[in-house]
Amino acid sequence: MTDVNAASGVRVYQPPKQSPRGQLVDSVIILVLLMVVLFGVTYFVQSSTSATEVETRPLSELPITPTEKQQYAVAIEHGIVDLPTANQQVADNKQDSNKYPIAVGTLIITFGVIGIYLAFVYLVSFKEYREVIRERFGPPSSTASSPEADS
Amino acid sequence: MTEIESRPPQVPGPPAPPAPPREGLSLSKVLGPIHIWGLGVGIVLVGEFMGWNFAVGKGGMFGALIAAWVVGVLYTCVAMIDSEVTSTVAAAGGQYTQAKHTIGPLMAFNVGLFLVLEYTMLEAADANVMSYLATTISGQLGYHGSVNQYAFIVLAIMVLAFLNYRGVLATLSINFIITGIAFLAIVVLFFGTQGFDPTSQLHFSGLTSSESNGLPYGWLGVFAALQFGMWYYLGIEGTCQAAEECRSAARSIPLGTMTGIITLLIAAALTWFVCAGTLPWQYLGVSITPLFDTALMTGTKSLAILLAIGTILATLASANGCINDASRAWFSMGRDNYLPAWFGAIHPRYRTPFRAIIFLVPVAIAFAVLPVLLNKPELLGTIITFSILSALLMYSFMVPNMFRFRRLWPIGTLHRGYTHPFHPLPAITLGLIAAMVLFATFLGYGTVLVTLVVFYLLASVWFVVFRYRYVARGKQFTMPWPRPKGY
Repeated sequence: MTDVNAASGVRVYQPPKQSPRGQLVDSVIILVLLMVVLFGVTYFVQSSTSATEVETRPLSELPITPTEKQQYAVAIEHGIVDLPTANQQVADNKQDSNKYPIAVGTLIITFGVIGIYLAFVYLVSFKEYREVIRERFGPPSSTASSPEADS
Repeated sequence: MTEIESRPPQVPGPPAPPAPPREGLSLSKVLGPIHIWGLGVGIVLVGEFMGWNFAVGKGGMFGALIAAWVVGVLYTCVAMIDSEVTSTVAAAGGQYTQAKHTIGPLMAFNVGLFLVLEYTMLEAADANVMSYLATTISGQLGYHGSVNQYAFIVLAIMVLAFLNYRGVLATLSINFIITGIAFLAIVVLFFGTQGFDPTSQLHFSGLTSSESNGLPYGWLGVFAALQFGMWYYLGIEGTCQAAEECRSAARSIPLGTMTGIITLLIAAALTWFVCAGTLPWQYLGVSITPLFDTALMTGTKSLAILLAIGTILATLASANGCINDASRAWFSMGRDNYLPAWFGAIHPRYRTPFRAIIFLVPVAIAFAVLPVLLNKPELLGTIITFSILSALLMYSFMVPNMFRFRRLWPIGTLHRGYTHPFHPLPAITLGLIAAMVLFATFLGYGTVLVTLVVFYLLASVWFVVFRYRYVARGKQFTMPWPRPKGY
C-alpha cells in the first residue's frame, strides 16, 4: 500500500499493521531458528580433547623446564592440580608445528559462504537504503550524484 | 583533528527536515561517563578472570601475549570509530542504529542480531562460568559438599534480569562499583605477587629458555591464539547501547569508552604478566580461573579470597551489562518493526525495555545450562565462539560503516561529539585484524563459523521475504541529519 506525499510528490509506503497473532508467530519463528541452528550445533559439536591415556610419571621425569616443574610442584601442593592431571596437560601440550592443518577445500567453502552472505546483505541493504532516503528526503535533486559514482 | 566539543558547530547547507517523532514513552536519560565505563569495562573484565588464557592453550604464552597486543589494536580502533559515530547517533541499539543510517535496513537487522547474540551468548557463558566458579572456589576454600550449578545459573540470570527490569541507573551504578572492585583485585594481585620486581616471586625463565615453551605451535599458533585473545576486550563496544539513556551522549560515550579501553589494556597487561610468571603454561591454557589460581599459588589466603570475590563480581558485572545491551538491541529492532512491535515497549514506571529483557532470559538460561546438562564443560568454548563470531561480524560491518559515515556526511556537515584522528587508518586496521581473527576461528571452530553464518543468512532471507513489509520506509531514518551526500 502506498500514499503520495502532497509536498514532495513521493510515494510513501504504508506498512500493514501486524496482528498480535502474527507477532507471536514471528517471535516463535526467530526463536526456533535460533534454537534449532545454534542449540543443535552446540549439542552435536564434540570438542577435541585428548583421548589417549597417559601414564602418570613423577614431575622430575616430565619433559618440561625446571621452572615449570617447580611451578607444578607448588600448584600440586596448593591443591590446584593433581599429578595425573599435570601429566595429561603436559602430554596434551607437547610441541607440534602441525597442530593446525589447513584443509584448503574447507577454507574455500567457509569463506565462500561468508562471501555469499555478505554480498546478499550489502546488495539488498543498498537497494533498501535508496528507498528510505527517497521517502524521507524526497526525490533526489538533479545535482546529486550516486555514491557509487563518487567512488 | 581529535576533539570533544562542548557546543555544536555551525552546520552548512540547508536545514535538515525534522526527524519523525517517536510515539509513546522514552527511555530515561540518567547516565553519565562513569556508568558508561562501568557498562563497557564491566562486560569485558571477566575476560581477564577467565577465558583469555585459552589463547595460551592455542598458541603458547607468547602467542597469548601477541594476541593481547594485536587484538588490543583492533579494539582501540573499535573504540575510536564507535566514539565518533555514536557521539553523533545517540540512540539505543548503538551499531544497529548506525547501520540503519549508513548502510541500510537489512544490514541493520543483521547488526541487531549480531549484538543480541554476542551479548546473550556472553551472558550465558558468564552464568555458566559462575556456576563452575562456585564449585571450584568453594572446594578451594574448604567446602567439600555438592554445589547445584543449575541453581546458580538460573538465579544469577533471573536476579540480574530483575535488576535490569527495575531501572538502568541502579543497574549501571552497581556495575560501576563491582567492576571497580574487580579491577582493584587485579591491581592488588600484581602487588601481592611483587610484580614490580619480576625477579622476586615471578619466574619467566621457563618461557625464555626454549622456543617450545613460548611458541609451542609456531606462528600458526599465534594466529589461532587471536580467537581467544578477543576475550581480553570483547564487549567494550557495548557502551554504544546506552547512548539514548545518557544525559549527554556526546560527552559520556567517548569519555566512558576511551577510558574503558585504557583500563582494559592495563588489566590485560597485568593479567598476562602475573599469570605467565606464576603458572606453567600447560596448566594455564586450560584453567577455568587463572587469576584466582595465581592468587592461590602465592599461598596468601586473603589474596585468594579477594580474587575469588573479584572473579565472582566480574562474572556478575559482565552478565549484568550483557542483559542491558542485548535487551536494548532487541528493543530497538522491535521499535522499528524489524521484530514484532510488542518488543518495542517501554515500562511505564521504570522506563526500561522490559519485554525485551524478559524475552531473552530463557534463551540465555538454555545456553548456560547446556554444558552442565550434557556434562561437557568444553561446550563452553562453542558458546563463547558464538559470541566472538557475532562480534567479529559486527566489527567487519564497522569498516564500511565508518567509510560511508565520513563520505555521506563529511566533516562539518554534522555535529560530531568526537572526531577520531588518522581516518581511514583505524578502519583499515580494524578490517585487516578482524579478517585475521576470522581465519583464527576457522582453525579451531570451522563448523561453528559456517553454522553461524548460515543462521544469519537464513534470518536475512526471512527478514527480506516476510518481515520487511511491516517496516515503514522513511521513518527508519530517525536522526535530524541533512540528506546524505550522493543520494
